[in-house]
Amino acid sequence: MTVVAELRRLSVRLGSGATAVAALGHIDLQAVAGEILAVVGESGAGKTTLARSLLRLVQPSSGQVLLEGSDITTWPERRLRKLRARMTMVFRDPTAVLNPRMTVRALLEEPFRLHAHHTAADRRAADRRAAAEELAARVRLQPGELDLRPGALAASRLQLVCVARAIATQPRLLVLDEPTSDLDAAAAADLLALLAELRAGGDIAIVLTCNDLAAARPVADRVAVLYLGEIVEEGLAAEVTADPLHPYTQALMSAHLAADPARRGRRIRLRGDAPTPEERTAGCGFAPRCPIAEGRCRSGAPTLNAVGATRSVACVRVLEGTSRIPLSR
Amino acid sequence: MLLDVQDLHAERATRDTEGRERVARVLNGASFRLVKGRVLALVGEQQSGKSLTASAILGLLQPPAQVVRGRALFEGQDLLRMSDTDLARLRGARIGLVVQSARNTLDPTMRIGTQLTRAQGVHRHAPRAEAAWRAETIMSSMGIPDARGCAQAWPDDLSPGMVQRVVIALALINEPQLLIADEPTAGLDITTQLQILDLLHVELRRRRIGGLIITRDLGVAAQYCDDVAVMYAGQVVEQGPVAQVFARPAHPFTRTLLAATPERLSLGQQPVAEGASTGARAQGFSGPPPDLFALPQGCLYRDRCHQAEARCDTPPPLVGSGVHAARCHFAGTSAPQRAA
Repeated sequence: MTVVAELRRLSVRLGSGATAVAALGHIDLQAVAGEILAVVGESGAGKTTLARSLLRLVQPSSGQVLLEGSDITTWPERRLRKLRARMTMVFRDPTAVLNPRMTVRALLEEPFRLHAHHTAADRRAADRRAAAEELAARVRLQPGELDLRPGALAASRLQLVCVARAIATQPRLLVLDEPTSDLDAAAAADLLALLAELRAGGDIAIVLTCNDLAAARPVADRVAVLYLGEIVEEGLAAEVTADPLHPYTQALMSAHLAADPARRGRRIRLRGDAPTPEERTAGCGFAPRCPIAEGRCRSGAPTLNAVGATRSVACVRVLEGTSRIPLSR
Repeated sequence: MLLDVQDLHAERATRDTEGRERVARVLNGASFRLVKGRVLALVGEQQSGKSLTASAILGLLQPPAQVVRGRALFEGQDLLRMSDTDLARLRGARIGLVVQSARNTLDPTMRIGTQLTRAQGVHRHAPRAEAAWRAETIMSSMGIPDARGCAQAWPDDLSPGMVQRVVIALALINEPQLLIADEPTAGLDITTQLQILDLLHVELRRRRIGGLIITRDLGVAAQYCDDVAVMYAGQVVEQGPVAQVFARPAHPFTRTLLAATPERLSLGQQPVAEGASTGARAQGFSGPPPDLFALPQGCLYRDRCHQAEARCDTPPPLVGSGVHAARCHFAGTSAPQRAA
């Protein structure tokens, strides 16, 4: 098991002075080659901050960020720049990141130009052109789309361009922040299938953030569930989705709307909206919305404890085996 | 029959960079029926014409877009041939509308309570005290915890979930017979989405009115709707009761959409079949969206369909048994149920 990237006891505070908030607290996370890790959470959970932390796009307040064994926590940007070919990111909104004046072809050639010292296709324009076309074929873009500009393409197609750019340099770490949230279901499935293909190559560690745990199940190997900046449950995707232990994980699975009318059943219904970091209370962050919270949940924050060989959960009731929430119609 | 949309066609004329006029065929035969007391899901991808259909029906299409053919009968009257004044009287009263980007519907300079009382005043004589009472009552029934406090609040004070509840309240406050909700939960967290959909479902049932929910999410259709109409390139390609369409999808596009859902998608580490390579991805689920300026002859789904044959050059017939029908040459035959 090759650990490509790692977060150790990572905390991130965003903002400054009196209005600073804890976006992430004490995160331990590993991205392993040949594996897809899904980080799941709703708004305010810290998914984007976590994704950006892996790429050192944010400055941690404490803890460490490691890439291929090197501690890059305090590296300045000019030193990190050399690593940018080895760790790449795909963002949620493809229209915001692509230069609207460049053709798709030019956008696909750009990584080869920028990271010339990392890729074979650097010396000649013809090599770059061939490499770009091969990349387009790999993500199933059509030849006719290569000469269009972003404005002429739908979001789903643009997201493929972004993924292509992110894999051009054959990175060791690929981070995708809610890459399918704004895509149609068919395009999302294609994107996930592409990630599965990349995984099969064995060299790359993929971290994917999303807001629907059940939607990550087809492609994730492991999942980490985030709530208010902390990991509340972590384990193998198949096991966590089949048998969620933390009350919030149970609520997330229950909130997924299955595309199957035969499965209209009882659900866990939470009250209120997902809180922002500013609204965090003492004790367990989830307690205000938790259907089975008790007095002790508000006084002490639970720690992430191992439950069996492959699972960790942060809930006092899990250890006692009383964390299953009754469903309501 | 509450709403009967018949063969709606719409176009949008634009000029390209060289000044030539080009016409996008944005609706190409959208037909569906909605009965009081039932909820219809209008599903399709981005740009498939779902929202446009709602706009067209309500007379909200802006030039250069215009309806070129079809009828939209609401309670027996054709909305497309109604005067602007009559339509304005219907909208917000007999037909309630919840649009996408709900926050944009609210006036940021007006308190919530005021917006709710004004929405009443537009359509009927509403003395202030009574209107305020109605506003508070409806906010409570929307699950807004402190209705009185919320009435005094500004839109910017509210969370996305609260905004959505207020917008739904605005759509329902004048007791419409039909509620049209366009992507009512887009952008909301899934736990909030559940609350909002529950709310819509309860209100529609309680009031015994008709609901049209426009959505990209098949899960919404499966869990909250009675009937579903699937759109592609501005055309309804399949329609029927949710149970039937999901169990026996007749159109290749519907089958593709279903196969792409997490419940059915299989992308595990191990190859499913012996000898199958994990690197060889099956033919994709998606493809470039249809070019509305240059749609194919015959079946509009032809270019993306894995089953397309020569006869797909001709417009496919509507095939089906009464309530469940699909626009496909192969529907109703024993064509293999290949998903993608």
